[in-house]
Amino acid sequence: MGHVEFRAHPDKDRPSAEWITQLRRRFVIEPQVDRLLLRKMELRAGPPYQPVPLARLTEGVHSLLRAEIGPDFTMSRERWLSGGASKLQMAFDLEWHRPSVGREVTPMVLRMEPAESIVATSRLREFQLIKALEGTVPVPPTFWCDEDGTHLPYPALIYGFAKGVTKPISSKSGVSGSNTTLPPDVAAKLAPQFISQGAALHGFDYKHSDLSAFTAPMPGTQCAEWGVDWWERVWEEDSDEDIPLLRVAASWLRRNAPVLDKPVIVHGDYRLGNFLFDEETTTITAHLDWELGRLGDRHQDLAWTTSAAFQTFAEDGKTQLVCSMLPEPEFLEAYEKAAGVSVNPRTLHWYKIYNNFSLAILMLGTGYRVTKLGKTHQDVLVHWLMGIGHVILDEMRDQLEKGC
Amino acid sequence: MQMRSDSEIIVMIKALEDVIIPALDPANKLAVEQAHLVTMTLKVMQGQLPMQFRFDHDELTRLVGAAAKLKHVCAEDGEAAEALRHMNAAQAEAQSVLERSRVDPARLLVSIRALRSSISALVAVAGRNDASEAFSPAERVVLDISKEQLLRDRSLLILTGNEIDPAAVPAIGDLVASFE
Repeated sequence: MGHVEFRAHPDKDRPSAEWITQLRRRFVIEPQVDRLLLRKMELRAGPPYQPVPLARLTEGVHSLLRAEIGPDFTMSRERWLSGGASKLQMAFDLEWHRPSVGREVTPMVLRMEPAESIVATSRLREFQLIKALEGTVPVPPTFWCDEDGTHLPYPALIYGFAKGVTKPISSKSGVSGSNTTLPPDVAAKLAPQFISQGAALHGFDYKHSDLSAFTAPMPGTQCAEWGVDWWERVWEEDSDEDIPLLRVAASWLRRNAPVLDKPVIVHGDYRLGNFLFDEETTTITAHLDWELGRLGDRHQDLAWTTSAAFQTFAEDGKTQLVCSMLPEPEFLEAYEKAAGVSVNPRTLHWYKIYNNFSLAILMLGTGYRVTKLGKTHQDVLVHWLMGIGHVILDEMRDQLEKGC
Repeated sequence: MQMRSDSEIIVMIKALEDVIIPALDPANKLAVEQAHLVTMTLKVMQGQLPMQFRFDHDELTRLVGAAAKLKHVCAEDGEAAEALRHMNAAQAEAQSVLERSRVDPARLLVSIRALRSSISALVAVAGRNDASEAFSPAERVVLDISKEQLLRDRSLLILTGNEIDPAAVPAIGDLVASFE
């Protein structure tokens, strides 16, 4: 279990091996997450992000594809994709011999890390999760992973381009897809799909899938403790000025850690803005952004989805709607019915605090560090997101005051 | 408050240099020239901001000294007498301001950060030694101060557009105590 130590401030921009080792000892987390945080810290003193021309990415994809499928392919229409705050994305068309399909042109997306991201995650974990869930929930077809950046400037994965929109073309939203308001008729069609697919995700038996980049928590409170230690370690690694409220939250979260009844695949960012839907049929075509996925507690996703940050007001101007779809009680009732499992209000409340705890750490700690060091392709956006940090902290304070 | 002008300037310069300026149409000379001027102005601000207080304090100190010398060299008659009276009043006010502003704002920030850090360490220890589900007295103090401070943080950053109900957040000028 982590705790604050009394000593001179370490140089977080050029962390020493000794300090990194101390942090790894203090915070006990899922082994694969430990390794990716270690990698982040070992690369911290390296150069800032250098703008990568499309030609360099094309060259890297060529190298990866030659290694994976040989020389018989053609790439075309390479172009940047926007969206999201953490990773670079390039779209392109690939003419190739697709197994079980034959010769075709497949629209593809390359998703690559910058030098250091607002959230340190693993492309391999993302790749494995999407692969595992093909056929269970709508996901883009996933093809190849450059786990260590052998071919590309940074670690990356390639998946098929999924058609659809994250919001109706006519609607408005904030930075990174927050505060999107859906028209009622669209919300009514999306809500049942969104809820049943969340239930299917949590009901999926992952034990027969290749999830070698994950470790399932032991029964009991290990899942919750791993989570709190994960984010407090990130706070130690990245933060500048300390926030006493985060220390109170960490202590409270540890004292009240919920018992995990059954480990499931958790998406980690299951919300409006992170799935695509066909605007004509209002059918969800793909759930995206699996980078925060883990084996854990379904309440983590439910708490995230129902977060105030992703709620909008109904037409009456009073009723708050989960992801602009349903009031929270109706949403949870529908989920219980679809999943065939109950929602524990105490655990849900714990995870709401936990989610805000992690989000505040990312916004105010990691957001500060990576932009100070010029580590991303869009520092101005990551820095802008720091402005949400205090709103999230205040919501977390309010939730702490409400207790269990 | 982590979101400060120094880091805001850094990310604006990077966005201009890495993304925006390379994407401009070279034929649009006015846009290219002004984008470069915006970048250079931000770089001037970057150097200017940390020195601004010391610069102004230094200038006021020398002006007060100059005013003291002028008292001795200017005659107190005719039109000069009235001007001298005005200058003396301004010098007295300036002297008072100098005496009340001996600490560089940068030093204020150092103290804020030091106290945040030590309070965090203390409350973490207090929380670790408490087995109850509720809050220790030390944690209660932090919850209370956080409520006050976070309201001010949110008010200062209201223009980032993250408030569901911006009208419910008081103006920062009404929340932050005046020095006078």
